[in-house]
Amino acid sequence: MHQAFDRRAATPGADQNKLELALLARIAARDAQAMHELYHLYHRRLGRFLMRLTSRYDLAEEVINDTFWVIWQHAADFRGASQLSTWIFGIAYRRALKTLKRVRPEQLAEDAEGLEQVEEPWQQAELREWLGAALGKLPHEQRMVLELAYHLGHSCEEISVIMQCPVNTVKTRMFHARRKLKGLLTVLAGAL
Amino acid sequence: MYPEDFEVDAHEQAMGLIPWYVNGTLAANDAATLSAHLDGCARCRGDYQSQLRLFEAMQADTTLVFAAEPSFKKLMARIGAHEDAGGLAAAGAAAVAPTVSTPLVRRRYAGVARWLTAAVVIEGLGLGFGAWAWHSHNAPPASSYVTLTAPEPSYRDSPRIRVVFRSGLSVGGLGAILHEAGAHIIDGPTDANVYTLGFSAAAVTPGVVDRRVAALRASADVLFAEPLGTGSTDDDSR
Repeated sequence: MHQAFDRRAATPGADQNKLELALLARIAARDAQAMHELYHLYHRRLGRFLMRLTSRYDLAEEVINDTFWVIWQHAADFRGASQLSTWIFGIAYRRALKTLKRVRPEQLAEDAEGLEQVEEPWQQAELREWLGAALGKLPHEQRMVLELAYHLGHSCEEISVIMQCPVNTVKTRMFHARRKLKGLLTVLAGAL
Repeated sequence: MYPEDFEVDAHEQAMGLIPWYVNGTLAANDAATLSAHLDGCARCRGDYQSQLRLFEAMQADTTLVFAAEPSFKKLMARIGAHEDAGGLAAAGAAAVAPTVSTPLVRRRYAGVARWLTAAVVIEGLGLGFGAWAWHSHNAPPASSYVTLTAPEPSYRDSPRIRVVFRSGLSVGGLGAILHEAGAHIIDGPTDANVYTLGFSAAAVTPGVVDRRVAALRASADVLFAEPLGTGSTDDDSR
C-alpha cells in the first residue's frame, strides 16, 4: 500500500533544469526577455515559499525582486554545483532572513521560544487553515524545511544547500517540526 | 546490545527516512530498505501514512500569491535606473562589471531600455484606455454626497475584490485607485495586508468587475487583485 511519491511529476526534471540554465546564460548576457521568462517561472513558487516565511505580501514581493536582482547581477557566477532551483531558493531564503531581521527582528527571536497550542476557534476550521495556523507556530527554520520538502519537493541535501546548514541539521529540524506539528494539530492528528 | 536496541534503531532510522520517502527524494537503496521495514512494522506504517497526508495537504495548499507582471516591471525599472546611474561601473571590481564594457552587452542594455520603454508605453496606453473606458461606461452619478445621517450602503450582494496594495502607498494614491475602480474598502487589512473592496452599486455586472480587476492588476500600486464571489462568505485569508 505504501508508495513513495513520484517526484518527477512535481519538480523540475533534467530537461526543465536545462531550459532554465539556458535562460540563465541569456540573463548573464543581459537578456531582459530571458529574465522575464525565468521570473514568471519562479514567481509563484517563490511567492508561496516567502509568504510562509514572512506572512506579508509586500515583504514577499520585495524579497522576490531582491532575489532576481542578485540573479541579474550574478547569473554568470552560477557554476552548476546544484540544481538552478536550489541556487535560486537559497538566495531567496537568505534575502528573506535579512529582510526579516531588518523589519521584524522580534519575529526571529520569538521563533526560538516555546510553542503555544492552537486555540479553540481553529478547531472548526478546514484542514488548510489548520495547517497554515499550525505551520505559523513553528520556528521558521522548521517551517521552511517542511515547506521545502513537502510543498516544493526538495531533497534533504538540496535543503541543506538552500539553508546553508549541514544535512544532519535539516534532518533534526524535520524531526522537531514533525513532532511539534503533531502536538499542535490535535484535531488534524486525529484525522491522520 | 539487546535485540530491543536493534528494534529501536530500526524504528528511529525509519522515522528519519520517511519524509524523504514521502516526497520521493530518498536514494533507491534507502527507499528499498524502508519499504521492507514498513511492510512488517505497523507503527512505522502509521507514521508513514500520517506524513503522506501531511505531504498531500501541503501539496494541495494553494495560498494566494500576487500578480507577477507589476512586480517584474518594478524590478526591471530598478535595474534600469541602477544601470542608467552607472551603478555597475561604480561597483568597481564586481564580477559583472567587466562584462558591461563589451559591445554585445551594451547592445543588450540598449535592448533592456527599449523593452522597458515599450512596456511603459504599452502599459500607459492600456491604463489610459482603461480609465477612459471606465469613465465612459461606468461613471458614478455626479454629486453623490454622503452625510452622517445617510444610510450605510449595503455590500451584502455586491461583487468583492481582494486586494493587496504596495507598501508605502499614500492616502491620496489609495483614494485615486479606489475612485478609479468605483470601489470602497469594506474589510481589512488582514495580518497579510489584504483588503476587501466592495461596490455600493449592487447592479454591477460580472464583466465590469473583471475589467476592474484587470485594471487593478495593471497598477504598479497593486500587488494582488482577485475577485471574490458575492454574498456573505467571510474572507479566509486571515
